[in-house]
Amino acid sequence: MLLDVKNLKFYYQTKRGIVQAVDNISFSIRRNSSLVFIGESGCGKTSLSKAILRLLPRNVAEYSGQIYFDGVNVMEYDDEKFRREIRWKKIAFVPQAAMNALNPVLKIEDQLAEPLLVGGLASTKGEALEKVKEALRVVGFPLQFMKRYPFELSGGMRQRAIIAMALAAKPDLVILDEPTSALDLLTQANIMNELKRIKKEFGLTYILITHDVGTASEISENVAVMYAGQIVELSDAERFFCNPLHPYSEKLLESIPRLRQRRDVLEYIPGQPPSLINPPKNCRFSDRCHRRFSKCDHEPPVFEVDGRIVKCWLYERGE
Amino acid sequence: MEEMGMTLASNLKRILKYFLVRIIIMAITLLIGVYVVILVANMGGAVDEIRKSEIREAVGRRLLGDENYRIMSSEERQKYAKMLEEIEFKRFGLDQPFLIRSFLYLKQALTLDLGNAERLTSDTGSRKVKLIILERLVPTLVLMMTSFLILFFSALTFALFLSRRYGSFFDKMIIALAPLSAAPAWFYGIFLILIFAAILKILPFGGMVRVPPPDNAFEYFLSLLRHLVLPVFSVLLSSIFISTYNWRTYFLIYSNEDYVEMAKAKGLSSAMIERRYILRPTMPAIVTSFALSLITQWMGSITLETVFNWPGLGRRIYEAISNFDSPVIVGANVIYAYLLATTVLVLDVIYAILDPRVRVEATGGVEQ
Repeated sequence: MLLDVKNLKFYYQTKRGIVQAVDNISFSIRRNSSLVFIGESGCGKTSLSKAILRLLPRNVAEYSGQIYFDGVNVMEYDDEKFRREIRWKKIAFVPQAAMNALNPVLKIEDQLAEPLLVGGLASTKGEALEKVKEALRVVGFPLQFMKRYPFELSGGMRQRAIIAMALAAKPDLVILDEPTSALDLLTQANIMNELKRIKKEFGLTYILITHDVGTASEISENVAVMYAGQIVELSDAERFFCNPLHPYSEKLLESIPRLRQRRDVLEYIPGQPPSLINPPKNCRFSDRCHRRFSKCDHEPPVFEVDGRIVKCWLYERGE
Repeated sequence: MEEMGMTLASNLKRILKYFLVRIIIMAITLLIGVYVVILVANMGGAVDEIRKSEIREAVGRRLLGDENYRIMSSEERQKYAKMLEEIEFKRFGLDQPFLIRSFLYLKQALTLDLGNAERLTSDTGSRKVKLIILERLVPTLVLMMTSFLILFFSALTFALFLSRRYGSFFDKMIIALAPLSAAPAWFYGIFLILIFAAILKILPFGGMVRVPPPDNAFEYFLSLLRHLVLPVFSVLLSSIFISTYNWRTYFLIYSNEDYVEMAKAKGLSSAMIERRYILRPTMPAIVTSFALSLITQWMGSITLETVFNWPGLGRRIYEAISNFDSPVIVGANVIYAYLLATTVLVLDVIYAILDPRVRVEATGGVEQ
């Protein structure tokens, strides 16, 4: 396993109480595979990516669990060691609001070369720039734009630059946090196709976080469904999209609009996810669930069904 | 190669054009500003009427007081007085309408031909407006610059320090102390004088140097320093907390930008993030604030200079205003306007160097 996350908890302190944004999450990912996290806005997807990279806000209340990277528990590293050894060299990150993720007063080439020089991945500026050029070619970023500033580029170009920044360091794992959600549909498709190609050609391992189920179905090998700070289903993509197990996954897939199918009203899930401040002790989805029964008043454990993981009482064995 | 040379030349042309336009705009602003000052300082011509009636009164008193004129009949005397008045009016240029003279003043002001004061004299007894202003400019700069530079850079340093330690004890302390800035510097000045000059007797009450001034340059400097301590501290006391608080909040906002978090994810050290991702993008704002606060210092501070008996420009301008000495008022404002215009122009250049987004405006955008 490249990355093995066990019982990861990441809570924020707010005035109204503690927000349990990432609540006891466990998953693992093999080298050269990909895992897509899907779920509604506010279910803790972005917090999860920040928790893995230890990008903690000032108001963190609890941050615990184990993160094994190549068999080593990196949670035991102190901040300085984590910064030097893990960040960007081992795990790179493509953030959600990529439009604003580039420093407005530094040239693209300087920003891309910077982590290579700081991390000791290139000894001279020239060497770093060569690596940057290589990465930019891979993502289809025109090299004559390298000397530009971020505000002189379109959104799609900026996104490509950031993906190139992540690839230039040749990290073992890339976390892509909704990399295309701020872009138009054509640019989205373009970048997703590039990602697919890069994955095939370079054997990239990545975690993709998205709320767009359509994108997820295109590009993933494994799928994790998040709901209210927890993983409710973890499965390989093929079986997941044909036959989702969890009632929430089922509803999520039904809510995708389809081009060739006439529907008067788009499927949606009534109600809202529970607040992550003092979440309910029962199954967190039970209030909105169409298959609710008596057991749902207690929090379900994780059940394994043919190698797939689901957090729902429907799959209790020995029924 | 040829193409590159051509783009360079056209870029240069654009930059020159940009600055030419800036200079023209600045010149027009200066022109309008100085003219308004002339109108206001002369109260739109009302000051002329005051001066005319003063001249009439003086002439009348002279005729009445002199026995030689008593033999004249009152009609003759009035005619004679009228003649004398006309001569005096002509001498002061009051025979022409104010509107025409206002443009004459404008020309003189802009060419820095500031002329003579009407009532004030310089400390050395001269009536030259230039001397009256310049002899006070230096002490004002010594006081205001010293306190401003200490204030600005220490506030900036503290603010950076606090933005790294959001919510810490020091952070909370600065926030709690910020209301101290509700009182002006001279208020703290009175307190400091009371404590350190009147009770403890370790620092002077006021003035710029000891009386009589020391002959030795080094001793003169030491004496100046001793006299600077209290006024500088009162400025610091009244502004440092709010200023630190302001900058701290500013840095906090900027350290929440996505690119700062990104820099963290990239594995940069916190010193590097601070330098390249917080200070560098905020530098234009810091420079602007620095330059604009700097020029407000040049006018001095009337009350602070009065409390510390400091021979500064602020007090001189106050005297000029209360004596309707319009040449001095206009002169001070013209010098100020020139300083302001130059600063803004320099600021434009620095901005273009610091911020690529402004630079593009200057070079007319990137060629596609």
